Amino acid sequence: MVFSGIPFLFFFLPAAVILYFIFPVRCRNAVLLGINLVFYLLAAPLSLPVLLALIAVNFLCGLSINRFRKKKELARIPLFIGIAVNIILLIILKYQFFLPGGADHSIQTENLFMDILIPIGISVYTLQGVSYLIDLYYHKVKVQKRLVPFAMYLSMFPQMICGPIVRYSDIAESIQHRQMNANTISKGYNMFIRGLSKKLILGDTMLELWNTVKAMEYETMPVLTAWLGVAGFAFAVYFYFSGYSDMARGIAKILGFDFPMNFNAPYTAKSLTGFWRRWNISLTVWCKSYVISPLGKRYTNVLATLLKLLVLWTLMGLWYGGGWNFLLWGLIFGGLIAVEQLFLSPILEKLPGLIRRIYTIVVVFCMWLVFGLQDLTRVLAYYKAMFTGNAASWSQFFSSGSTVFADGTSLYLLGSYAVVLILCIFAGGTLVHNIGLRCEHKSPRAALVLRIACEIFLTLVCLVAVAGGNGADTSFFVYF
Amino acid sequence: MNKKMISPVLGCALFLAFGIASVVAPQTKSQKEELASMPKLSVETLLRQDLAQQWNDYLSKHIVGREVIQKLSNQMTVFLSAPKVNDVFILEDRLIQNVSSVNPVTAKRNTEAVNFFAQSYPDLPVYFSLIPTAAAVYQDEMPAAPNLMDQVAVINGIYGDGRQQNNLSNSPPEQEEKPSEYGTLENIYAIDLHTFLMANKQQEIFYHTDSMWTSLGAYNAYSSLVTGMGDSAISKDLFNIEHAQTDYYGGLYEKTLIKRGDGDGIDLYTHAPDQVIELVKCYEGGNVKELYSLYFEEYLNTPQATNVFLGADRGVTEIETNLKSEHKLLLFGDEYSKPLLQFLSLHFQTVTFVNLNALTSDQYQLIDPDEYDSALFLYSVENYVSDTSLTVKLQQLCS
Repeated sequence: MVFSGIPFLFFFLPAAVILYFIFPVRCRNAVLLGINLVFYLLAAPLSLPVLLALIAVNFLCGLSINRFRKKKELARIPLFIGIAVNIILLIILKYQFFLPGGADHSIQTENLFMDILIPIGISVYTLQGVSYLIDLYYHKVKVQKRLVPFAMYLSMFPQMICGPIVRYSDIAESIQHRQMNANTISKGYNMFIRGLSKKLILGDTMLELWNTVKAMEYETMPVLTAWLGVAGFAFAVYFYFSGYSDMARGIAKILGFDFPMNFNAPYTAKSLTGFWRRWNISLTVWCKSYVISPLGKRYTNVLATLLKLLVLWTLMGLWYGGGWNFLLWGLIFGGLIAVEQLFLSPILEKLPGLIRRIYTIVVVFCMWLVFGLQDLTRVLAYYKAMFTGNAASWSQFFSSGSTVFADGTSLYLLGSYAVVLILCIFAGGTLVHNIGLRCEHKSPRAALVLRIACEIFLTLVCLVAVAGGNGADTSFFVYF
Repeated sequence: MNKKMISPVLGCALFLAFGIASVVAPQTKSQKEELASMPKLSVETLLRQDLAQQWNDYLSKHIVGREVIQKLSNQMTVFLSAPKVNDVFILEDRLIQNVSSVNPVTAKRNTEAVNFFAQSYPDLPVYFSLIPTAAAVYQDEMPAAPNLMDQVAVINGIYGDGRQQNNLSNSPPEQEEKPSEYGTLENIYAIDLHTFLMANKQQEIFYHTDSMWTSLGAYNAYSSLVTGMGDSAISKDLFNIEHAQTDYYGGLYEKTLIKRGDGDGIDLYTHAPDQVIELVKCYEGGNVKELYSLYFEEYLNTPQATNVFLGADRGVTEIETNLKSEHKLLLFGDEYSKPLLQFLSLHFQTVTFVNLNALTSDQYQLIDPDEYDSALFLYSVENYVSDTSLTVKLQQLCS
């Protein structure tokens, strides 16, 4: 059940919010747990046992760790058991495709058995479980002794589709005492409707552009068409993931929780390292906190740094999907970041900001092709189109009347998608946000009116888009 | 109420109101027909975990104010992206169904099946003609969208050297083997319609809001066709033209809800000097319905108005005329053949129109190619390259 579909928007979400606020404050954890389980039942009923089992395992392991908190050697046992159960289930259920006889999950399968065995949200709640146990072991959080609030934390429906990964420490206090007022609800709705608009208006349209270009012959594709296609995919990826993240944060905000920001205008970064500090922040933080940092304390030489980067990027790549292309994408990216950090940083710092941004965009866009095309042969053919337009020679490339750079189809695509491409550039940057802040500083009243007007406009646009049948396409997602 | 709560409350109320209204509001007739697909909770649904998706599909058809919402949504799509909705191009004055390049395997198999038919009945002259759709005829008005099928190239490839222009002889020309990924006709008279249609595209030969050709378009094609079959076309002046409907918004409008023009006109051509059509036998399942006109006027002023020509699709329709001295034609075709039969049937004693796609197993016995004087295959390019039933059923017929 996707957030942009009719059943969720027109029934589930309004009913859930109304129900949540009708009940007294002391019951809201239980009510939210009930809502989470109903969501899971409607979205993935056969995967519910997996979620319930992991809730039980993590809860019991947490209690055991707390019981032995003064004897670390004993506390390690439930810690390792808990981590092992989480990770083994994640590997078995999500990455069975690397096993002999496993299918390629990067392509949608009609294998019913596979559909049953890949639980929705498993990439989120397993990592959240691991983070809770580790933080508990190191006394960074207090144990949650009551099952209902713990189960509510691990099964939170807003994050099930696309994250963010929320550490227990981030919302421990909110579990006991949540602040909900007009301000938080209004901010939450603002985040939600912006996220929904990003997905429906920008993400869906850019995906359409990418799918159109993807289906063309790469061997005769001009440069402009290739770049339009890859831009379409890059924006689709960003607006899908960040849109869903914003929707999750918005719903959580309405319910009284503050989820951490997950995307921070990543396409404005001036380096690959900077890009990854702004992209899927919660995943990067999790990997660094619970995988790299423990290794980092012991091993600090250059080779170790390289190996740590490769481990980090292998995990990051695999988290997006269980296909070989995701692994390759992660490894190549890790390698590029290692090269940047070890050799290129001093050079990059001396370059103008615009050049650095162009460099980052070009590399990131090129890497998205590995993510999106799955077949390396096709990726290479696409790169050839992007950088040479399949020209037989440079003279052909530069000759007048040549269609190597652009042809009628390129101009048709550019003209058709120009409006949304421009919107993507603005929405992907910080300009709109900065203008909003300035407006609020100069005239809070006018800024409020403008904000309300925009929210109502986007609400109506999203209503039309969803009711018109455009919201429920999930074919893009290979993501759990 | 705090001003900050305006949008959250409005948003929640709007979404919920739409949802509830869509479930409780009285259904229109077309929605009632779709009501039959209301999703049910079952073991299979549970195992497939697509209950939410089924409900989404169901509710999107029953949303309150669906037509208005769909119209707005489509306009938004055209503004934000390509001028195309549900695979229909939105041009300035017409809607055109997109015909994309497809895998040539189906077309090649169909061509082989047609060749097999001709080989199976060596004494039967077999004619063949492919009809380019509006996407090909109005190609110069189409946007430079990718993956559009080059229908002329497909037609030329299939025809090979067997193409016949208007100046035809009765004997088939020498045909050279020419490799084509869509297959090439062998010992079959291929009749070119494309050139004549392109030359007359300024006339209203295709509807603006439907993918079909008009009666005038069918007449233009008939002129080329019947000349290619060795006869002379009946002058248009000898027909009474009845403007049966003037405000038709066809299938492409239903897909897009975007109007172009003031509506199409549906014309019926009847032979003025005398009544030639004697009997029309419609074979539906095991029953035969006998009528005396090619026109099913009950379809006029409905969304399926183009079914005024011979009614809805069926496997076999037999048209008998008072031209007892003339020949019998066995016609294999699709929906494009139906308006053309207004003219073509005036040259034959009997025309048996076979729609292979709708042909049922008990209807094969109605067709004996040995009883006919000629056979004609008449398909739109779009159907010919995608219809898999043609091969299967034609081979069954020949066996």
